[in-house]
Amino acid sequence: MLKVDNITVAYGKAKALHGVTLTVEQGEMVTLLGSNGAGKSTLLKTISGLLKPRQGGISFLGQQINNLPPHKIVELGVVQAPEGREVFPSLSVRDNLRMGAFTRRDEKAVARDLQFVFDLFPRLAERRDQAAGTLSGGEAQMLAIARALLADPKLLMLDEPSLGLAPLVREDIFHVVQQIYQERRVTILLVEQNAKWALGVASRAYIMENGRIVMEDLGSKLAENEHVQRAYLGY
Amino acid sequence: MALLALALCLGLTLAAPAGAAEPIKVGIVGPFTGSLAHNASEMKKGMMLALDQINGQGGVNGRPLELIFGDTSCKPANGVAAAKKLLSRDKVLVLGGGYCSSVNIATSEVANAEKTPVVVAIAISPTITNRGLKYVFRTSPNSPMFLQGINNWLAEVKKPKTVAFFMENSDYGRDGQKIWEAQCKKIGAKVLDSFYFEIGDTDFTTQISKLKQLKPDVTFNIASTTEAALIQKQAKELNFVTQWIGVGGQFTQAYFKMTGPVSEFAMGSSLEPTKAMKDPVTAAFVKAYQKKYPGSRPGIFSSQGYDNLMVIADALKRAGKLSGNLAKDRDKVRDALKATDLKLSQGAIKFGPDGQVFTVYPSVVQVQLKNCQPDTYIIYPASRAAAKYLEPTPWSKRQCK
Amino acid sequence: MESLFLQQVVNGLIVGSVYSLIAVGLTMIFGVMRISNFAHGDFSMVGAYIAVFLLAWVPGWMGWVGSLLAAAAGVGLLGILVERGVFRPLLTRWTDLDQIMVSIGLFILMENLAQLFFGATPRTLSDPFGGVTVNMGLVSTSAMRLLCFAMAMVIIIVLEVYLNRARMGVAIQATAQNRTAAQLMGININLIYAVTFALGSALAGLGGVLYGTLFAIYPTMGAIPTLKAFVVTILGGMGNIRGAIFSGFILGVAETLGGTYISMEYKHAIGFVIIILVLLIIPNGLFGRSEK
Repeated sequence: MLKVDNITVAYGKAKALHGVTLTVEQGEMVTLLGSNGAGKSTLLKTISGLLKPRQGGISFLGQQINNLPPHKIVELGVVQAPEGREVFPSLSVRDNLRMGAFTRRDEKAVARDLQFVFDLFPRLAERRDQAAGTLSGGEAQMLAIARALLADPKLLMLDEPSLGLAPLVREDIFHVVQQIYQERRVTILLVEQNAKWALGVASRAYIMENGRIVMEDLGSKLAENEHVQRAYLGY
Repeated sequence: MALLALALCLGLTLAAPAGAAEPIKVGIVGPFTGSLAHNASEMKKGMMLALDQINGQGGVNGRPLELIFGDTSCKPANGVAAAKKLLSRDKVLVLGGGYCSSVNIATSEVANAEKTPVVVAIAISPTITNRGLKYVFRTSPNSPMFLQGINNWLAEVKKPKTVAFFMENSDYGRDGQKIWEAQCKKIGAKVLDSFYFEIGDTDFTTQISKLKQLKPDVTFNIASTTEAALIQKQAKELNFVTQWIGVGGQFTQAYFKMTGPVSEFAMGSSLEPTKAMKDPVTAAFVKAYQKKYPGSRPGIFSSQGYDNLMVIADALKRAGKLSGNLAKDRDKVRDALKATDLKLSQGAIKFGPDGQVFTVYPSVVQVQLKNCQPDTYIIYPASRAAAKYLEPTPWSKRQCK
Repeated sequence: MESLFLQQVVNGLIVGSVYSLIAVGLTMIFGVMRISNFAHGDFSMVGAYIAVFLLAWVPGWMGWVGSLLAAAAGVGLLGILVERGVFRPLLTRWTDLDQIMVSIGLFILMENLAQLFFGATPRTLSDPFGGVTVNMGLVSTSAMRLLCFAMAMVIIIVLEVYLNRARMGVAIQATAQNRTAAQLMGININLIYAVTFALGSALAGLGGVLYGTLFAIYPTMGAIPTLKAFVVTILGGMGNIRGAIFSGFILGVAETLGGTYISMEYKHAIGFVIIILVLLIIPNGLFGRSEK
């Protein structure tokens, strides 16, 4: 479904990604692990079209996308839910969600999806008229995910959904991500710091270090790897 | 153009000698090139008309007058060079013309040192005549005198009890205020308040609303065209009536186009000869000018140039037969100038002990409507007045839209 | 019985409504594109001249209303051209200084072109009410001034509704608040830039017609609206639209009341004194800066 083929990305002269190759198949949940500054967010930004690779290519459903502007990539169904801090703070929860559906014209389907996310996140339904800037960290994260869902993604990319959240709230988010994966049958590329959980739910996983993919395997296999255990699972 | 400038610099001789008698030489300086060339040419046109009239009537004591021009470009250094050349090489008897205060401050000092009488036509700095120089005269009012007409009118006609100032925040506005304030003190008018605005301001409603509370009989308002017009419009919008008095320079075509009839009753002063057609001497000047230059209208500078040469010719006439001794003849002319008593296009001309004319001051004009079209008319002094002063009426009583 | 206080409040609100209108366009463009457009008031000047020519052709009511529409359309179109031709090429590589210098250059260019084509002579728009004044006991004003105020209010309300209800309007706000997130939601930000610049310029043009109706029209008339719009924009928080609306009125009334009760000579300084105080005490402006 998504093929990232040997891409190199640089900010000015500083290379952030060195020949990264990654694939996501239809129906998979793939996770990408790595420490801060490993290049995970850069990779997501490049797939979304915010950054352009110097070398290599990215294709989605067989179509080359690395030269498309971000909004065209969203129209194709590749949607990224950024961190919860990246909501539109002065817009209401409802308007944030409306912006999620910006590229869609089918009002009925949008209304259905709106109902789906309100069922999924009852807290957001309660706060639908409140400005997004007044939400708690967990609620904002929920909104960021819900907003991405309203774009009706074929491939949903989640950027560190549990970042900075209290343990209880984190559990909620984990639960919801699994629920989305199961109920919507949406393909997910998950960037996560909580390796234990991520490796548990993902079918496959990539480990990224210093802008390179250093390991790639089934989630369960990687969870048994000694290096991964030491570096990411804290054993 | 370059050739013309060269000819002027060399001192082109413009009047051919009439008959056999040797001409009397008069030096004329002015900025005949540069940015003020247009105004200087207006002055010259007035002088050429005077020259025609003088030489047409047989010249001065049987000798024709000859003008020798020197170009100053409105630069003191050029002016000094031109004046020195006229005095020592051309040996002119008297120096006339002049324009630009800075140049005339310098040239008059040069002429005074050479003991040659100098009569300044156009320049308003008080310095020119307040240095105690014995050979210096001026036929133009100095800057304080520009407001003298209004001062006289205030004292003799309006006699306001209360006044307010609403002035442009510049030397122009502040200096004007000093002169009017002194006059108000003299005639016992109370100054209620003073407001200032910046050049380029457009919203005057705050100040006008406050003026409206003060209800001054007269509001002095030194402002240039755009600001003055906006103030008139906004006064109407705020239903404020007062007698507005400015300097007069604001009354341009653009001003009347902006205000329409709203500027009715506003006042200022003017030296425009065409406004003073009631005065027979001025009217005769305008007529003669239009005959010599068909299709043109004499402005202030033409009229000041004309009067300047007329004053010089009159003094030469009264000085009598010349001895041929340049120094003695120059003294004789100086003495004759002192006793000048004429009526010319700008009005009566008499010199004070400082050589400054004290009888010429701008006429007072008021904006009045004819068929709802606004224009300025002289209302004071009576000898030159084309219309009667009209007291401003409430807005609700004004008919023209 | 007339009240100086009420009169000054009314004077302030009328001028303030035009400040608001012009400042909203400036703050919108800043909020979305981070452009401080020092030529903004010159877009108002262009709008005012459109009114001059249209009113010369179709005098009276029709001409006045028509010139509002024509100024919005004409200056909006000019905004699109300027955004595409002048600002967009700089978009990827500019520093703040680049775009500030470019907009100052634009302001000088526009003033000089206006001088060349329209001449320096100031003009006024004829008043379709024929100069009817309104004396309401406590305060006096003219029908035209009231109409300008009402028109500014209508435009501001229509704009508020558009920005909060229309899909594109909300997208403009979203882009201003978080450009990256907006792109991730599939919002074409180049389109948003074009729409925002067009809309902001159209508001400047509309403000220019009202400003020209209240005051006068000449090539350098844009300087004061630009200055006031910047004061209002900083006061309301850079990029904050509702902040700009309220701050326009606040500045208008503060100037008239300050002029009346503090000192007439410091009327213009009052805006700057407020700005300095606001920046010292509440650095994000009275209503907070838009988020980035």
